[in-house]
Amino acid sequence: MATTTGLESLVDQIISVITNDGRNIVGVLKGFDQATNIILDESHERVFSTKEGVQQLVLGLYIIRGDNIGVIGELDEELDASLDFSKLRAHPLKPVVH
Amino acid sequence: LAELKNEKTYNGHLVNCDKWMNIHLREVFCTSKICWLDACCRNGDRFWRMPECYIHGNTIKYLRVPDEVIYYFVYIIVYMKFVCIGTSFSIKVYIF
Repeated sequence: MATTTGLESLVDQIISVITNDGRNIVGVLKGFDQATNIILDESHERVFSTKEGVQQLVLGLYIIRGDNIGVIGELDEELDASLDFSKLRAHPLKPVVH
Repeated sequence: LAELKNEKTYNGHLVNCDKWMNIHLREVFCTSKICWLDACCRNGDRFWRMPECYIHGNTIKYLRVPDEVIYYFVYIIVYMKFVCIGTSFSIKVYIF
């Protein structure tokens, strides 16, 4: 049985988290544990909308509980920097329904 | 949006916590994200203040921690216990 969740390789990198309530939070992964609770530094939430550009809400240092996490993914910084958020239109994510 | 209706944010000073992330707070302000009591409150208005509260770890979604307390660590609960006690916390809780 593996002792790590595979997040070790992502520590100190910018990651994108999709939570169960449909939020997309981007930040630097500082730590995690067996329950996939994670600690995110310099985090900000990206709010998508079909009417206005992407809103970024700064959150700072956040602990996100593992139960609330859907997906954790690596973020390509260069690709991310090349995106023009004011022109981006997208449907917001819906919360997870069990 | 039904889930978001029940989201509350608890702001307070952390007194203690345990390995299940149960949280004991003092001087707590509880605010609601979305108005679920018609005509009673608006978004973000503080509507509850309590001297202390105990939150069950299961119901927590996020914890907002002051930036000053960041240190290198692996285990979240150890971090909270040794670094965060006494600091001011903001917790988003999903109430079932």
